[in-house]
Amino acid sequence: MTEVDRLHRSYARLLRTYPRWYRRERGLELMTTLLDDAEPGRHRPRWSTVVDLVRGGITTRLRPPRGFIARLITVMVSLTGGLVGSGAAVSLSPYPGPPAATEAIAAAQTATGLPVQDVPGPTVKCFETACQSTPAGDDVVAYDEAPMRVDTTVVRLHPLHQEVAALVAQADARVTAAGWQVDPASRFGATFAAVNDRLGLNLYVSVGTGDTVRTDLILVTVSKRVSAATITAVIAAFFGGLLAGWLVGVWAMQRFVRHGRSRRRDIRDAAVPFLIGAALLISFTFAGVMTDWADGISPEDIQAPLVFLLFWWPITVVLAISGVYGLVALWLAARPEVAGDGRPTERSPASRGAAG
Amino acid sequence: MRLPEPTFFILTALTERPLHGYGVMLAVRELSDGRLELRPGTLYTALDRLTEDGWLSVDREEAVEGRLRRYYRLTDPGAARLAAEVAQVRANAVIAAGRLRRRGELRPDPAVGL
Repeated sequence: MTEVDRLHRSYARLLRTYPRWYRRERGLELMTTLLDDAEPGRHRPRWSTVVDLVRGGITTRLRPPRGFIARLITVMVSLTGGLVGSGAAVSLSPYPGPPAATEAIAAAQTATGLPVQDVPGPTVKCFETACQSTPAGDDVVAYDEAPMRVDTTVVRLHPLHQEVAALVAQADARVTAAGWQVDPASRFGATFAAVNDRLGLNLYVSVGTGDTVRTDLILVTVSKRVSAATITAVIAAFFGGLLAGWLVGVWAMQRFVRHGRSRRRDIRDAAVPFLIGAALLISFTFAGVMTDWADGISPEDIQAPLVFLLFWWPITVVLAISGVYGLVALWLAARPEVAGDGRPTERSPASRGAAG
Repeated sequence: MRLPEPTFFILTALTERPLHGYGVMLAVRELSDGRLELRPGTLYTALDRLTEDGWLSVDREEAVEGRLRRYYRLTDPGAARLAAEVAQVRANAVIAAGRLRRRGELRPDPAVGL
């Protein structure tokens, strides 16, 4: 094997950092330039060339084609990948279930100093869009819906008539004294949220308006905290999905612009329903994050994408169908390139035998 | 927005005649007095971008003994963009040169018109 052959082989290996379509179109040209640039006697690439080619290959794989639409679609595919990834991580993580009634009652009594008067009620299984209303007379109700990650136990307490601000301030002071950490951003009017090592609670005071019947109510919603392992997994899955989605989006757009008109129309037809579903998912999550931002972000908020995916069966079906359309669009983009008249694109004779 | 220096020299290298990739590398090195040395990966990333923008186009291909040389030429929009850049650089240089001359830091140089 000659020095030039060894150098050629090394460059061919390095050119594998570029996408296959790029190597097919530009590989031989790039290889020619690399060999032209190599001084006589060189049989190994210079380090600067290695770094340069790896950087060029990664840039080519990560860079969407020019144009606002191409970049917008790439961002949407990337965000969808991130949200689906985090949703999958949530659904695969252990489901803690609602806390036991005794734990919830203890937390509520710590916060309010009031006794729970009625016996715990049955666990309520939530259905589709909402949990069923609680049976009258039960002051401790667990809500349990594993797919939706609804896992709370609500304790209802009936205070004597008091000023709401004073009631909330006293509860805030009690839980703080008991070692709970109150989220400052959650202090808003008649509500606040706090966490300790194992549990999170949200306290809300509802003021009744009835003249004869006392309707003031303190609702203390208690949940088990999302574990650090789950949060780590969800964050990792989000960024992993973001990167995977970006790579898929760039790849699809790079393939799209190389197809003929008729294939591009087919891809576009398949991609539009997917993009509508992706826009729904992204906008819901964005709206949820903005709302939570105002109320105070909590670890449970990482479940938002999954909750939307499973929110209501018609939405789940629509999103599933849009996902299938997305896969069809990718399949069409992956098929051999065709010219505008539908014939397979011929490679130019000069391009045959390109590196890789 | 100002052109990055490699882009500026790539467009300048192609003003007189079409060049292939290695020819562009040599021309940029010469035009910048050796200050700027483009590597092939960087060069082709720039050529792709400039071709997508319509500032360059492929002039012709030459395939000899298993090697492929693709020649690039500067398009009219590319030349117009480079001319706009030159005008901007020149205007900035005139302003700076005038002020430096008043400070006595710069002598008039008829060769470059400043």
